[in-house]
Amino acid sequence: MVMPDGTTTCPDMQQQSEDRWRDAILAAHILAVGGADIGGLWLTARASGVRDHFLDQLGRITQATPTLKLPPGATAAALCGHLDMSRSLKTGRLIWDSGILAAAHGGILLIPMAERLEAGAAAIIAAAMDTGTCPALRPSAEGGQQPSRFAVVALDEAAEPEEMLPACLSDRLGLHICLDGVTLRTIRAMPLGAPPAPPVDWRSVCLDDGMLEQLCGIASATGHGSLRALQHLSKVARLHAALDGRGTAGVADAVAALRLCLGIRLEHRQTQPEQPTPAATPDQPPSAGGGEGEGESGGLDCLTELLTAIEQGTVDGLSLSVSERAARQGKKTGKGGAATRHARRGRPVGSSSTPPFPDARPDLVETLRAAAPWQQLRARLYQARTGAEPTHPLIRKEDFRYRRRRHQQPSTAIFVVDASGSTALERLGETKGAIEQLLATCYVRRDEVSLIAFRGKTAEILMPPTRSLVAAKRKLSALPGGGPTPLASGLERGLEMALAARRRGSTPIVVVMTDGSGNIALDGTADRALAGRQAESIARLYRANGLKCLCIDIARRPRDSVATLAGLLGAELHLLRQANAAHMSEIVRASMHRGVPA
Amino acid sequence: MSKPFPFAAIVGQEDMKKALLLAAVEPLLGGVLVMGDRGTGKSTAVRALAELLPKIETRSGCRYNCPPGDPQPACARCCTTGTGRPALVKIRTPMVDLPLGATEDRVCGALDIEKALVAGERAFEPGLLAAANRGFLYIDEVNLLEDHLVDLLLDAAASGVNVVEREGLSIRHAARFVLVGSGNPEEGDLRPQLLDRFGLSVEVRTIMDLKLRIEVIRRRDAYESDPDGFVAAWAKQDAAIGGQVVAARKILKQVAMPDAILFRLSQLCMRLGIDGMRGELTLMRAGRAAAALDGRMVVEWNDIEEVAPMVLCHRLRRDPMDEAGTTPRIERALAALDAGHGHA
Repeated sequence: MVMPDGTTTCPDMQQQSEDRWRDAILAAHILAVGGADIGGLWLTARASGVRDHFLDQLGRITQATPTLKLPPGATAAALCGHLDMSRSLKTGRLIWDSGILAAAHGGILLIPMAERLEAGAAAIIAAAMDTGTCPALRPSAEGGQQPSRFAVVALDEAAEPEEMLPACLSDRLGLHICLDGVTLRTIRAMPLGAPPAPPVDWRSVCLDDGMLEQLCGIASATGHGSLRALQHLSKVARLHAALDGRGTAGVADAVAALRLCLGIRLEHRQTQPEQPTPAATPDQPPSAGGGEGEGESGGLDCLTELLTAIEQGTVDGLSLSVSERAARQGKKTGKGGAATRHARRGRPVGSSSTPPFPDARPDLVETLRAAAPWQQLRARLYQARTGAEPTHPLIRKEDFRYRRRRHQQPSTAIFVVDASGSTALERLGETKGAIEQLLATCYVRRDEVSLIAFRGKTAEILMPPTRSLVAAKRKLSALPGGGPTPLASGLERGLEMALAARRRGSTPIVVVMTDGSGNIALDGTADRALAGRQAESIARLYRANGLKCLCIDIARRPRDSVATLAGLLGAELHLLRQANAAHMSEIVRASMHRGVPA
Repeated sequence: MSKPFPFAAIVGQEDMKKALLLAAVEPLLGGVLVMGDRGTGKSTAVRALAELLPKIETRSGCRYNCPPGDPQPACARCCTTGTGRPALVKIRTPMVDLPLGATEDRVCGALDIEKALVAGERAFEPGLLAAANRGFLYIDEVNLLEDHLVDLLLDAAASGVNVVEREGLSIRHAARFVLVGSGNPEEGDLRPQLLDRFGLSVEVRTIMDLKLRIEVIRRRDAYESDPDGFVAAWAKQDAAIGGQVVAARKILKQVAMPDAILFRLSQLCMRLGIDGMRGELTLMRAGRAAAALDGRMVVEWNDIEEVAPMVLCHRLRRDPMDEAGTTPRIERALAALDAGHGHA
């Protein structure tokens, strides 16, 4: 795929590809030495040959045994050990399986599709990482705490901002590597021999206070306030020095740690000509003398440079770390929309012979009732086989019955708000008020609210779905207004988010607040006709997907264009001449509680 | 399992440490809620706390942590008389982690289905509430826990008894534990009804002071390099705090609460418009525990001032439009009260 003269056509991409691959291999070496002490590796990459190749290399470098793969949808019982029902029934005594966490002790736990990992499972893994023992799910195990220390490799294939690693897990993983843009050609071109075993014990490598202070400043400036991030930085810097056989962590190590843990790097294009040091360090694995030779003053300057660059916002990789890592909070991972049919709580509605969710507890009475009619027949069979009268009821696996439950789905209200110049600023203020009022009451039903505003060239998600008033207030405090109206873009974002909410098992309700037609097309050009056609076709998609919509006309005088849009969306049309927070939230709440449209 | 990080070695976060110690002195306070950013040592502090408290006495193999002198009817082991009676043992104060994925059966206990099906025997399998009796029950990410489980936990924590009525079983056993919940407020709020049930609530923030941050990293690193050595180095300080708690527990009942202070704290609660009596009651108990922890036999107004934010901040009516947090409101009310008192 890559042109033979790839280096000449796009040297930047080639360079990036090589850098990323080198970093990935370096991270693998660090993981091999650091192991469970640095938590693990967060690998952002789609399933591909490059990723497979990296995992092969990782296995070769770390030599970790065992390397266990977490099965998708692993439950608490699967993680911590559970009763093997069929074997227990057969042998007549209790047989426990050891869980995945205990089995992974001393090795690596590989979590595929980590962005889909359930919050509960993530919390259990995090607890095991913290305590080094497998959480005991059965209180009967007297003091039988099984050790389970392992490094985690989380494979994150997130494609949308809504999908993300559970925060409690991503916070504990020290290394973060991204393989996007790495080409197979790079991998073939760069043979990587395993370096010799580190001659220095990394625990004895010292990192002086000045360096630590610099790291601390940079981490805080990039929005990584968590002390765990800082701890990972200090460890990775020392590991990096130990791999090079040095007893003191220098500036090169600190820069590498920032790159490997937080994805912070200086932009090549800008810095290479004038500031060769930081960009050059990753390229040439610094020799023992090189790191020392730069001296303390020069070294700290280099980090100061980095800090200044961060404050100016001219650092590559910030988008990855600041906006994503810091914003990757407060999210639950996918439940796959099955919440209604296989609810874990709520009103019982009958029983079934298959467990509604893995881990479900059998309904004993129903199980016995199902087994009862067969008892005489089975007793006869049992007698023919063993020659003895059965002393206990004969229960087989197929008799087990499970209780099914149903509970109401929560709703997600998605506000798509026109923040363009044509809409008065006060309306935005009232919308914020309405959102906060909705949130103040939404804990009752575990409803969520989110906000998309469109103005200028495109729409932007100002607040991803949340039920936290705290988060909402922080994000709503600065809601800018003014500019032209990219209605199509706003509708598109709203549609994406609504479908994502539906996949998570919640019922989306889209509230579109606008005062008329858009004048900016999806690609950002000011083409009113094209914008109109695009908005129309997206609006039809709302209807096709059966999304529940509310259209609120917030113009001074009602306009036909809004009525037409409402018709296309299949939405209820409300006129709101005086934008009023209380009124608005009342309308939305009423439609949220009316339930799913037929 | 290696020993947990020592309590005394936790840098900063004085409010959180104080709240946990108060709850350890006076279990009737009704639990502690710690809300705050990630990586601020919430779990570390809670796990460390159990380590410095004195060991409790029970019988070997007892699943309900019965006191040896007062066995519960539900516990078959402790109720056996004669030679079959198990020996006395001393165990660490129970510190039970409630995993997020826990089911109701695991929390409350349920019919031991395996025994029922395999051996045809009707037995009760005690849950985490039984295991936490006379100790602590810790829930990380309490705001992500299923609501019905939170209800159940708070109910058991408040009444001190776990009642199981299901699958033909009828069991009551003691479940006196201190509930400690932690979470990140950005992930969602707790219902106000639940907030009110926690006795104390503290908010922790990431330490932003550079020197302290570095100190945290250094200590953590020292601990990880040599856990046993680090724990031994801090053992003395830990033991001192443990001793303080034991001494405070002894004198707690005798600590006197002057009427003037009681009067003023009622005034404070009225001024803040706090519903119900639970706020006042908890404030009184917390004040007494704070005095006891300090080794004094009489409560002073300073004690109340110190504990008032953690007792009251989660009980104030929340105004969704109010930008400032609730702690400043309490401080303002305290200041106003002082001024008013000065004039009178």
